[in-house]
Amino acid sequence: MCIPNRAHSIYCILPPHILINIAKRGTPEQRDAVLETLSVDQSLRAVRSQFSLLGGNKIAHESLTGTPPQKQRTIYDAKTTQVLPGTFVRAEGQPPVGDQAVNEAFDGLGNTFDFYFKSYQRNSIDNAGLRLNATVHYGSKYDNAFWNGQEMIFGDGDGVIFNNFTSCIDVIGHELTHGVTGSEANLVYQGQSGALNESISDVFGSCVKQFVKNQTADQADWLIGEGLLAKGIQGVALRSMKAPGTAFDDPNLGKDDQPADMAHYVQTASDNGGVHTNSGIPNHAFYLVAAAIGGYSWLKAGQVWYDTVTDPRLKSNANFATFANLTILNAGRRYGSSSPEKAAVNNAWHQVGVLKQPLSVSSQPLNPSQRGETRPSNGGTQPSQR
Amino acid sequence: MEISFARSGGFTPATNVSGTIHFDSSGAHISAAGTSYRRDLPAEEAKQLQDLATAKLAQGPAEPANSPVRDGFQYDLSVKTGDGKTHKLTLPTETQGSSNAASNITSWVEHEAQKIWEHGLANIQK
Repeated sequence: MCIPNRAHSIYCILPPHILINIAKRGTPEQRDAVLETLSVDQSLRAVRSQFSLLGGNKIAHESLTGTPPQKQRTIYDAKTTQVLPGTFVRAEGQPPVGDQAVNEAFDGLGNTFDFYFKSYQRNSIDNAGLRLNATVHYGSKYDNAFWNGQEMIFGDGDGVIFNNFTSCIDVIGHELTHGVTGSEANLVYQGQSGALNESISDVFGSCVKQFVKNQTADQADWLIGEGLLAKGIQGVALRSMKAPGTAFDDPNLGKDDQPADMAHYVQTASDNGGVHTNSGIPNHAFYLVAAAIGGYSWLKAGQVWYDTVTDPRLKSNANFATFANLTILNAGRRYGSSSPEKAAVNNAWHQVGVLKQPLSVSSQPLNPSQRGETRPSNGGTQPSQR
Repeated sequence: MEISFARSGGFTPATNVSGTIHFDSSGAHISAAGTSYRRDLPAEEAKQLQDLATAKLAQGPAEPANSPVRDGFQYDLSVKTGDGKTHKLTLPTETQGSSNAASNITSWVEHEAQKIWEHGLANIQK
């Protein structure tokens, strides 16, 4: 089956008339798989046509020819004001400056860029080499980091509860990933689609950290914002993907309220419908997948999530179940319909209560030809382990 | 009239704060539940705030936000009017491009929420 991806050119081995024959004469599992292919085929053709018109093969060509895309980072200093972008302080090719926050932001953007390119052959936020801009020292005692649709903005923290927000590579990866999601499915920032948007940022923020630290799933701490809480605050981080709801419990900060499963889903009007709270559920699902598969989490679990984020069928208003089903389909497509990877994804979503009915997994998997599995035009395979 | 406001969102909901403005014959007073924060509003500021809230309510429900901001703070306003009705609205994340009244009240709530947050920080430092 084709691997639909907004970024890469897509080639299916099997022409439609053969797929239709399989649909007519194949087993139920084969028929389901073929019908799925046919249902997305029209939209894929449109995507392919548009991609070609936009010169999209250039990206794949660059990765084939061994000329990697170039990072274009620029860091600004807001000097504790809220005026953006602030004063220019460091650009690509320039040496470190005497400001730690500037260098952390610069390096963090670079690490995240490298992560996306080496892991998924993605060329920056928009997969077309978009410049990476960030502003540090935003506001006074500003306890936040955010993506404003154009750049990443980091506060210094207050020094009492929060340290500098540039100090955590996963926070930087999280913010940059908001840009990636915005250029793909652009999940609506409200309710379940918003929580998915947040979770995707946590997933790849954590993967960036593991990538930089060269950690396998069992070596990773699965914390988001580890080191961000100031000394004396009772907590280890802002969120835990391994054990949502346990990251902090402090008299001044309150208690981490993230749920780990749908039974504890939080209904609220605050925070765009609890996008930073209910993200704990898909966060935990990803952790379960990565832990079950083992090895480097970004290679297989991350690949399935990336395939899903870039899947044209992922609509902006997707809910948890829609996203979950797409991850299962993408795991089957990439690793096989009876693969342990697909089973791990399936089991994880059931474990967190997003999916209720067990999916039927074919005991007679289609062979690669029947599945129509092909490689993307850049010859992409699993990135080699670091 | 009674006005309540809340800040939520951000990278972590741990930075949530809320406050209430009580209007009475002696003026207006702000308090924040669960904290010792208290502030009496000067008459001019209280009048301006009432006018801004009234103007914001007159605008009716805001269009669904389509802001590109992610991890930004969300500011909510709840106004209890003299007839006992409570009107709730979420202020636009980005002040740019919105009406003056909306911009000003968003800016006011943003600054007051930060004052309450910093009041809590000062107490921790003690």
